[in-house]
Amino acid sequence: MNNLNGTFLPNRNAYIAEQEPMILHCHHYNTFLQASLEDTKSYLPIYPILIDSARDIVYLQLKNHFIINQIKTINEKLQIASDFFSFCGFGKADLSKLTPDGGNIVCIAEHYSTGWLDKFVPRKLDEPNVSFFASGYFSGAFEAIFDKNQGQYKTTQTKCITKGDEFPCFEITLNHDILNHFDSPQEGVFNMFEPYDCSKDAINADAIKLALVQMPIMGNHKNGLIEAFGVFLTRMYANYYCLISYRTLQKLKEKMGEDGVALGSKLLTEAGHVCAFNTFGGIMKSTEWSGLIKPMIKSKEDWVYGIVAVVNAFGWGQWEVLELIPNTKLVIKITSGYEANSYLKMYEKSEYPISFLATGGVAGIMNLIYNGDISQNPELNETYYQEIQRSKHCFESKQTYCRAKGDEFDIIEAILKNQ
Amino acid sequence: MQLFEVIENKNCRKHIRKCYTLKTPLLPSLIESLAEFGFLEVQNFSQFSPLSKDCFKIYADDSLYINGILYDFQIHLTVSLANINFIPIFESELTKWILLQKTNS
Amino acid sequence: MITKVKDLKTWSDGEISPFAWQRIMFRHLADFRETGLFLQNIKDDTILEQKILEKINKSYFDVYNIKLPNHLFAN
Repeated sequence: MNNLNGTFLPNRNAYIAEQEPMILHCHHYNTFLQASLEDTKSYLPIYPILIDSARDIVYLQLKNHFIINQIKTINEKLQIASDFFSFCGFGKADLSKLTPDGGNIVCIAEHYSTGWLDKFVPRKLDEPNVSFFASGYFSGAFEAIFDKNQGQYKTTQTKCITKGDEFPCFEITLNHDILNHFDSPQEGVFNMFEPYDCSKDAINADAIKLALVQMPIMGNHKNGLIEAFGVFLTRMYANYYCLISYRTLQKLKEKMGEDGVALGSKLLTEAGHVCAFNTFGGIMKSTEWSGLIKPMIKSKEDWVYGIVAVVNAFGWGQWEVLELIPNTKLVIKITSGYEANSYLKMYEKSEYPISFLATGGVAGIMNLIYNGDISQNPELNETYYQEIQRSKHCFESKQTYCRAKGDEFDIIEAILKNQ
Repeated sequence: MQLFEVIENKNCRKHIRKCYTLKTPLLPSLIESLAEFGFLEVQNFSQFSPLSKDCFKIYADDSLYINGILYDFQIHLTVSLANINFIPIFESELTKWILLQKTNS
Repeated sequence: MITKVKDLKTWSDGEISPFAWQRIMFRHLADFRETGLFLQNIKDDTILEQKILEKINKSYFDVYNIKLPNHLFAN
């Protein structure tokens, strides 16, 4: 069978599966980002944004995959959609019993459900169920499998473990409403970078990237979740983050003007900071870090270079340390960052900086290493996070160059908040 | 005679995590003997950098996870609360292997 | 009872996190606007009306499972 797994492109630090960039992100980021966007529910149509963004991407990706690989049988198509769902760590869903009229799906596990329960309080009964991404995935997959147009299937989550049900369940039906749809920006407007020989540096970034790229990071056979580095990881569609974030910001601007954009940008950046704390922190505490990277480390600054080398295997583009002043400042240059790639294809130009994940992430690196001290192996929990946030040595960051604003690359600077 | 030191991580709600520090390094023969408890996965990091060390993990669904670095002195065990009976079995296997090393040397 | 933004922020920062108040404001941007409050006008000494405090109280419960203390909001 023509599995849809994708390929890592080392001259772009991108992981491409049938023209869709896939990037590693953890449940802390996924659920915090979703929760922040859901905060607009009383005044924006946020739920269609969360569902349709997934549908639009998955539809185009699978449709292309089936055409390019000449996959014709329905069974094979259903299997590919189900396998890719698990491969990416989204969960495990048996789609084999479904027909062109739809049907019911019981997931053994689903990333957002498990992740939400790990991070937040259970959802209230009067709130919508949590798995918007999976709902969109199933609709898009069905439209591609049964050769329909976007919007011709509707997926409703009928059971939700964040409300006490045993398994996440979904119902797929034919949809007769006219829905808006949007083509995925796919690989977007990307750049390539010149490889740099780092074999003489203390931290051999190329060796780290190569080693991590070949690691078998994929959903386990039992529940389709990826448990690694103390978090639930996903190989998520880069464009999913971009579509849900930028579509929401656009709506916010229409409805709330600059107020909405200012506050929304802060929360999107905070989602990146939460991600860095948990994923980067989890990685720096892991056995893999101790085996692969720690033997290269000679100073505290090498922790920064080490984690930046790791980021370059995540599919986020090329991160490079431009300046590091211990305890004081970190400047990171990003080439072909996934946020700018996607934004430039969708909107061509922005009036404000848009690399929210990267901005939060750079501050997160400094907070883990110079505000807290990750080398002392602290427990990464909410109490420790708040301690770091309230500390006098807390770092914050800003984007000083932005490709989406017309610059050649992105630059993010993290400095002490109380400087 | 104490063959290893154990530190338990008490912060985890769903699992028990223990870190065992041995006096002898973790040799491939230990990993092979523990591999009977689940799937063995070895990351050959040393092939990418001469400084890096190979890591291993042995896992069985979400009930059991053993991991460490080859030739290091620490091995980590994570078991779900439903599977705590595995702890003495693991410790017995560890003891048996350590004693065998002493006999062989 | 008069509840000012500063009191609420101080309680929220201390009890939950420095970002909790921002999330709650994000939830209620439209409600603030209805009362003529735009972000740039929301200052520490801005007084929050009972009607919006009720909504904020519900949001703290929904998001963080915590209710506003009596000195900030009396049911």
